Amino acid sequence: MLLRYLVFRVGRALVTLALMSMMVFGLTRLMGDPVSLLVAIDASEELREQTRERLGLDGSLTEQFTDFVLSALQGDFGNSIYRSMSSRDLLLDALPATLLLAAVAAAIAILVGVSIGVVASLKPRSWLDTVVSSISMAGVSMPEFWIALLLIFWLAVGLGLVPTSGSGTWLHLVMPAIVLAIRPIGSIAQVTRSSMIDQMRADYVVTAYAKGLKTPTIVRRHVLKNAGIPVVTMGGVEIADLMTGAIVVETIFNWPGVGRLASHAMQTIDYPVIQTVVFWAALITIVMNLLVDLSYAWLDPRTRQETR
Amino acid sequence: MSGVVKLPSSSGLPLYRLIIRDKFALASALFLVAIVLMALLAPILAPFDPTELHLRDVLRPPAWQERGTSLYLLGTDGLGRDNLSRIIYSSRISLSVALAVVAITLVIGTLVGLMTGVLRGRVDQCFMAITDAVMAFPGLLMIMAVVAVLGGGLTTIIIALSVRYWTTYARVVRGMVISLRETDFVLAAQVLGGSQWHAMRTHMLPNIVSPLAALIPLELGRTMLAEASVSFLGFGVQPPMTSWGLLVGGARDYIASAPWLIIYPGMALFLTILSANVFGSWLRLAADPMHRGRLGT
Repeated sequence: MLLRYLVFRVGRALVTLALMSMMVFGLTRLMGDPVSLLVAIDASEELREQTRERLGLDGSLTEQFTDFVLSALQGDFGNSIYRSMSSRDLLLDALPATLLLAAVAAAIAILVGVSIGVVASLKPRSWLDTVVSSISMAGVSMPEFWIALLLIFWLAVGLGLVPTSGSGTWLHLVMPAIVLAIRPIGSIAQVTRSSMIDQMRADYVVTAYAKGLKTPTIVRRHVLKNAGIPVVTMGGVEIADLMTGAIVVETIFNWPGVGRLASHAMQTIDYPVIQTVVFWAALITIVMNLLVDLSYAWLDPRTRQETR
Repeated sequence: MSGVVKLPSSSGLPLYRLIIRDKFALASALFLVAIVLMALLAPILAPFDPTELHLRDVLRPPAWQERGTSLYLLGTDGLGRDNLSRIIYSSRISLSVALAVVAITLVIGTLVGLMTGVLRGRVDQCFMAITDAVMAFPGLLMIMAVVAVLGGGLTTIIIALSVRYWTTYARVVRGMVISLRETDFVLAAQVLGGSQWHAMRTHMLPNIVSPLAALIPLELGRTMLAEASVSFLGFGVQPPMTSWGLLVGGARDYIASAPWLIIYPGMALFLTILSANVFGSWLRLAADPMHRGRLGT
């Protein structure tokens, strides 16, 4: 039964992958003629033809799509139009910066989000709970680009504490990491709070109180672990989103990661780079979804029924 | 026998009486009404035409700051255009884009969700693969790519956002149809000889309406944020049209010299999204009879 679900779900992931690839191909081919951007306006037809050939755009659409599929299998869609580097290498060069930023942001988000969520849950509807709930609601509603510019204004321009943008030292990391953490802090705090409130009503907590344990001990030893499950699920989703949110943040702070790479490639219609970034990002999401679904199926047999 | 759960139900209180008890939800609802009125009455409320240049009054700070004048309450931009008037007029684009996208995605998502939920089988599997593929794209990149393909413009940005967000409603509707399909009143209708489409129309659809409606404010907030982000990056609403996101994007270089051009349009955007989220969270609980007990009373 589990094997059958496995085959079914992997099959669907493959179909999804094929559909996604076609969308990537279609979108980037429709984005405009890169040749006209590369050559001078008065360039000869011959030069245009050569450029087209160099970019592999001279074949019919079917030929181009075959090329595309072969490239996809290698995960590399050719050299960047503007930089003589393979787009996969550009992506790999930018990846460590994005991962570092995402890791620091995730650490801040989990630490702050879980702490304020737990504090709020201990006395539901107290003033402290209201304050925390308001903060987390504000966090999830905050436009990243706005808070990023405000932080630049206050911390960098006003107080001169950190550099306005760029990379190199850990001080450069402060503002982008804070901005990126704000939304997940809000959502993690909300989930932690409601999960904790549910758990605090459970029988085992009543038993622990009856045994004479104090609240901090009960929370630390018993409740946190149980309340953690939805937080982990939610946190996983949010951290995957960090990579996407990085587009805006990396562009503003000029952080040399995948987001800035993608945003620059978009502006210059550097379609091999766009294809590579989008393809890899989508591939990772599809694989992650597959793994999540499979782990649910393994843990909870009821979810396997979909195959019928 | 139809098993319809209407919005004002078990607790016997209509929504407007419930909301009075929750001061946050009430405040956010009132704020949203005020923003909508502001957009509708923009020509009356705005002190200036948003495109009118005042080259003698370039980069005036807000009235209460040094060099500020009460003529330009929230200051002026690099061309001497009135900041307040531009914020007021921008609400029209920001709101209408979000409303249009939510309307389109609601209709498409509901139709697709109903169809796949009822037809099941191969149609359903195809649909799941398509939504998986759409949702696998990094959100902003997909919107930017569609805008890059079709060129900037109001219609384009609406299409781009709809292409990305129709899946939310489709998935929610499909999920609800699948769970409703097994309920006694739907099974009974089929046992009595009703067709699937009959069951869908008369028994399922009415039960789907209120949870779907409750999603609208949350989706509005999400759409506004996405439009603002892509407009900020230059891939959304294009000048001379303005939206709150574009205002902030256009003022990026003025962050040190004229921060009011960033603070106030951004604040309008933030407060509107915040209100939509606060009101939406409340509405989702209020629309669900099972959760209504949790509302602050």
